[in-house]
Amino acid sequence: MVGQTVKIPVSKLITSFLFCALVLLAGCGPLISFGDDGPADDVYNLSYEGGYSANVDSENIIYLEEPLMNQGLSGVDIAVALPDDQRSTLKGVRWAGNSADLVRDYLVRSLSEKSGVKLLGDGGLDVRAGCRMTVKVWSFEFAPGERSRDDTVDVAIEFSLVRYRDGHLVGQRAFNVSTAIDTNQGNSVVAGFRAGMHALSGDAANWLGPLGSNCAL
Amino acid sequence: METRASYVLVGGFVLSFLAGLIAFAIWIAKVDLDAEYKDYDIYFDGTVSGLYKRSIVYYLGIPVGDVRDITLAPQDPSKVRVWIRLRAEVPVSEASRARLEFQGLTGVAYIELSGGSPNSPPLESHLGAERPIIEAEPSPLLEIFDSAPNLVNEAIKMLGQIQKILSNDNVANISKTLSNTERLTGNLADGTDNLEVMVADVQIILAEAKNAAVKISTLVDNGNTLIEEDAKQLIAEATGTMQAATAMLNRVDGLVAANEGTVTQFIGGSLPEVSRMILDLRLTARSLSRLVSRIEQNPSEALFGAKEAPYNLKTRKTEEEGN
Repeated sequence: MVGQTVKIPVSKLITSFLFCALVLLAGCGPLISFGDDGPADDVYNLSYEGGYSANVDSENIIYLEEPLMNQGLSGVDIAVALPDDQRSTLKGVRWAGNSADLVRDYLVRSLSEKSGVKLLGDGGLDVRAGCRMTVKVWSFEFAPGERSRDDTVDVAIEFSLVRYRDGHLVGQRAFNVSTAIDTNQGNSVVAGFRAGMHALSGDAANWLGPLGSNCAL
Repeated sequence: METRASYVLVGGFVLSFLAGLIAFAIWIAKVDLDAEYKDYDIYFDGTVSGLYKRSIVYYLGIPVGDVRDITLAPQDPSKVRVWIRLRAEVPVSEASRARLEFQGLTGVAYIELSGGSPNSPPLESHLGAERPIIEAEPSPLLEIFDSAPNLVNEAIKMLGQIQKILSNDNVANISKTLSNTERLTGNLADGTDNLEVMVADVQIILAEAKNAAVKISTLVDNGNTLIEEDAKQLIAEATGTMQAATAMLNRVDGLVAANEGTVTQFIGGSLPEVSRMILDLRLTARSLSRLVSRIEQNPSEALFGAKEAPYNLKTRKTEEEGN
């Protein structure tokens, strides 16, 4: 019959839609995870214990670029360096954010306060700076020893200071700090990272301070 | 018997004999009783070795007098005063000069006078001087003798230098040079055999150069035509273009001047921001590239992460080792 209209009941239409949705949801099972029932991870931040650089030289400004993390160091997991170059992550512990962001924020504050040179981080993209400093993180990992008192936290960072005006490499230096911790004595691995970063940023600030005059606007 | 001698005759004979003797002496001495003489002084600087009393004085080679006396000059012991006597007719003037000369190699000296111009006034005695003074001039021969010791020393030095130059090594080098020169000249002589070929080549080159000169001349003529005719239009169009460009630049200049603050802000503020943004974009692009590579290789691992055994700090082992 030509021109006859077929009417489908609304209840059947809704039922069919729900059925299709269930089929799609079941098909995407491998792609969707709702987590497990295990204990929650301990989340840590890497905050600089010092103050904020209020009275720094505003003539010499350096833009600190996002650190380039070595293989296996990027992400929120705490990297573990095992013998024979085996890599792993620490179970039940993770950083509050990407390790590159944590390192960058720590260096911006610590170097600005200790070196007297104004450093700009993520929020200083539109501020005119005289130099930019690239950061290569070679080591940022927990290295367990044979015994707990042999455990160390290794931090190795290489800085390259480049002048914007002419692309001149003002300076380049790598710093390496290995901090011993004893996890059985209650020393936190994260505390080892914090101590390592504190010592390394102090050395880096002593190197960066005299070079700041090369970054005058 | 007493001899009666004629005293008158004897006396006459003796007197005649004496008179003849005096005449003979005068004749022998060639005494010119009628001659008149004039005396002069000559002051020589330095030695007059070889000059004695009675030495002859010449005037232009003619003996005209002799040396009467030789003494040191009263006022200056470094000079020698020579007193000469000349015949009165010798034309001694203010311009006359006396020079000490030598006869051959015997060392016998004489004085040679040279005259001045005929218009020079005759030489007269100065006030306070005994006799007129003839100016002396140095003798060339005497100068040579004076400088002879130095010449000998210079000659000895020169001989030493020549001996150094003619050392065995230099002689050997000179011999080599001569042999090389001989070889070179031999080669040149051999090369002249091909002279005709070379001349022919040169003629060809000259002919080509002539053709090139003609072409260059034609080119220059064309260039002149181009400049005089076609270039006028071209220059006119270029002038128009330049005027249009100038107008455009003026407009751009005005535009920039009107928006100077904005342009400065862009250059000072936005350009560094753009530069850093490009760097961040580069990092982002690299991260995206890695992510795409991981998705292509293992999509599940890209979404849920790679399977890895976490390190358990309590057991001090990885989970796989623990299991």
